[in-house]
Amino acid sequence: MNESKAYYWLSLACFAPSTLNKILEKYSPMELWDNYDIILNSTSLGEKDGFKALRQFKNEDYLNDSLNKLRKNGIGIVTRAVDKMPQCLLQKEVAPPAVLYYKGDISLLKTRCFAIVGTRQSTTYGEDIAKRFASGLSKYFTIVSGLAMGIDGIAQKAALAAGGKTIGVLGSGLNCFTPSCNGRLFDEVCEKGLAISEYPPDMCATKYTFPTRNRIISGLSEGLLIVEANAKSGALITAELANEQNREVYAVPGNVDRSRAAGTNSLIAKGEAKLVVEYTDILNDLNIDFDKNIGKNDAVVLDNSELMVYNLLQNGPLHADELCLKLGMKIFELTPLLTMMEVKKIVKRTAASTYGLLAK
Amino acid sequence: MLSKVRSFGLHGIDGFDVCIETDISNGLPVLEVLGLPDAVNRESIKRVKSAVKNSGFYFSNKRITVNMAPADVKKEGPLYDLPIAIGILTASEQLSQDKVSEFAFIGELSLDGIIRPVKGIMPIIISALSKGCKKIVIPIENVQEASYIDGICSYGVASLKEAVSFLCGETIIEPIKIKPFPTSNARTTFENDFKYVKGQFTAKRALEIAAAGGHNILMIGPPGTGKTMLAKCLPSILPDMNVGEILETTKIHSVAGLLNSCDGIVGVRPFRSPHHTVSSVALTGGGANARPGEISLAHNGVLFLDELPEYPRNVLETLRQPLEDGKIVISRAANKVEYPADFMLVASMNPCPCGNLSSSIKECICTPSQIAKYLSRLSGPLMDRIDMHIEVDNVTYSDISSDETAECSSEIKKRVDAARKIQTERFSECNIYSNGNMNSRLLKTYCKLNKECNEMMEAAFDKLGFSARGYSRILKVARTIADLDGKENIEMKHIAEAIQYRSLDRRTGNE
Repeated sequence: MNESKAYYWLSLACFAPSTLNKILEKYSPMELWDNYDIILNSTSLGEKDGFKALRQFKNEDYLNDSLNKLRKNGIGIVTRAVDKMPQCLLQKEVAPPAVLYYKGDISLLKTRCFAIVGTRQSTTYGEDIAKRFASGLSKYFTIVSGLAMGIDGIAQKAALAAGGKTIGVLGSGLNCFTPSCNGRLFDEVCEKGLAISEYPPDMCATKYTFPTRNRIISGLSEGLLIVEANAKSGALITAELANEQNREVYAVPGNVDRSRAAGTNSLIAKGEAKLVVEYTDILNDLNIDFDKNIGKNDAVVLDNSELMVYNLLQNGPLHADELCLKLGMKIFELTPLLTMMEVKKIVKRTAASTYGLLAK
Repeated sequence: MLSKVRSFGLHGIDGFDVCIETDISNGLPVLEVLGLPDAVNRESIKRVKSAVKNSGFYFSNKRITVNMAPADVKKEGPLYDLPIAIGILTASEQLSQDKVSEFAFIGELSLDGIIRPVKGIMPIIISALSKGCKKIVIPIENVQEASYIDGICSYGVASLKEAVSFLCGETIIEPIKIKPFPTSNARTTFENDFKYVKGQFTAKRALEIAAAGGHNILMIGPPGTGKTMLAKCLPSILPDMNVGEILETTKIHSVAGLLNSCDGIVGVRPFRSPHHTVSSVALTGGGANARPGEISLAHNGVLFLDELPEYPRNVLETLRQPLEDGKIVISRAANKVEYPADFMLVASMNPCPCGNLSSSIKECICTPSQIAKYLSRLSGPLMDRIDMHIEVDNVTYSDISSDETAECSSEIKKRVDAARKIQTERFSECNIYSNGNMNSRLLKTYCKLNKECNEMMEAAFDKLGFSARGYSRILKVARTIADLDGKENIEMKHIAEAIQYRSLDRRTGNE
């Protein structure tokens, strides 16, 4: 029996992080293992169901067996006892888990991490922003997020597409990944990056596990970027946690008329997040050297009519009908033009028949 | 005595020979009908009895046996009333068999001897012609339909009495005058005209292309953006029908009994818009007495499905085979019929349950799973068969306020007609009428791309995240755009435009 195994044993009780840390303040894991019966019978701790349940696992052979089983399934564990658990997670404010289950490249835990989170109900605007920031930041950081629908998944996808690394922090066990629509992304993250979870592999997600894991997302990271969040978004919980953990929090502002921007805008207004408009703002803020020329695309050659469209779109996206009227063009002349400009990555469709400039 | 009367039955949209044999022999006064009559047919003998008596003829009170040959084919509908009556009158020697043998007879009788119109006269006369029948007696109310078929003398009669006196030579009835097929769209005014639609240039252009090439099209947009209005304007720009198309469509409408008795012909492309509560049998056709469904009634015309995801999935999936083959084969235990169903599918839908996903004005409040669930009501294979998808958005203020009057439908129709003419010539030996129906072999022949176009396609797939399934659809649409432009070869701008009409193909979140 060693300390690491004792942590593993303790984790099977599935304590809430705060309970676990209160217990560990009083007793070391080895003490708990050795004096289990005494503590159970003589202290208030014995009244906790989780602690009672530990009795059925208090068998070293069983623990060894179950660890072997995990290994066979490609799941590794990191406990507080081992060096692989990064220091940033062990801070008191993070309420670190006893054990992290993982699939993938565990060394990523020790790289510089940056979190990008946001609403699950993303808009095309938010998705663009998430992609842009994730692919830019992935050159300097491992991108951490929650593998959720919307911003989270898109940021992680973009990081992988840009050749970067990413860590997905799950709100469920590693064998019970949700949401299923991001299943492929999860597999890819396991293969090329790292997926971690504090929950036993076969535990399903509940309403409470997602907000709880958010502390690990922010805890792992040097900074946190909120891309799009409505007033009640879970991303705001992450922002609050990050502030408690003394991590830098950044937010991208949005259109004041849109509910999806209410959360980020209020974070900025309350001074809880720094306003950023480009990923280089974050690099500057974190004092990271970068090539000042990046992000400036090579000039694209535009012909006359393309230039006319370009100039019109500089004040914001326009409906194809308006473009037609303003340019005095027929729709069948304009449509091919827009396709060409889309292919050249100058414009993109922002809504139905509405085109805007593709941000550089 | 035995008599034989020639008549025709209907199977699908084709007629078949039926010989009504009547035998009157000594015995108790019993009436028997043989030859798989349906319920309507069994009743027919009672109608005939009253009609014969009420027309002032003698109805034999001996044993009467009526056989409808061939005996193994089901006979449906009331169209054998008249031939049975003639058969009984002949068998009872009130008419001469020689005279009766010259004609074929079709018609339903009412109790007073009046001949009522029947369904499916047009296909019956066409088959009668091909089976060597020279003269046919039909209900007077069906003469309009019959008047387009040359080569056969059709005689319209109003009552049994008139029919008998005609056969006896007492009354002279002239055969129906043959009318030529209308060469151009007889109807010039439409209720809905594109000139009343302000703005929506993209959608209008897309519909013009769809009409010209017979492409299936899906309009996606928030509620209240005019998708239904646009679709309702579509008939006003559909190209004229050629004679082949008119014949096919009229046959189906004749079988369904939907022909307007003053025209007697379907000269305008049909526009069918079944509600989303439609059952799959109503859509595809079938039932106990096989009837053409909405898709066949829309043959050579438009089938408009408003709010596509609201249709039950099993109903939509039945469209897959007809969309591919242009016909529907309805197989039941007892029989099998085939109806043509070569229609242009026009559908509309919202992008998400709340409808505002692609709107530039309103915000969508749906969750991603709601949207995914909504869109999953449409299967991939079905969407594969739709050539064009366009997004329709709210009309902008500058559209409404602009003084420019929109182009009227008749102008657009001229371009559509011209493009369709090119296609008809191109496909004159291929048994199809439009680009929308090209198979992969024709696609290779007529949609060759030059190097520039190939590069454009490649860039679109590469940079815009297109999926491969849209490739041939883009080619077909580009072919139609080139036809509208009057160009023999597909050019880069045609491809570039066609690409814009595949909005659902674009992958998101993967650039």
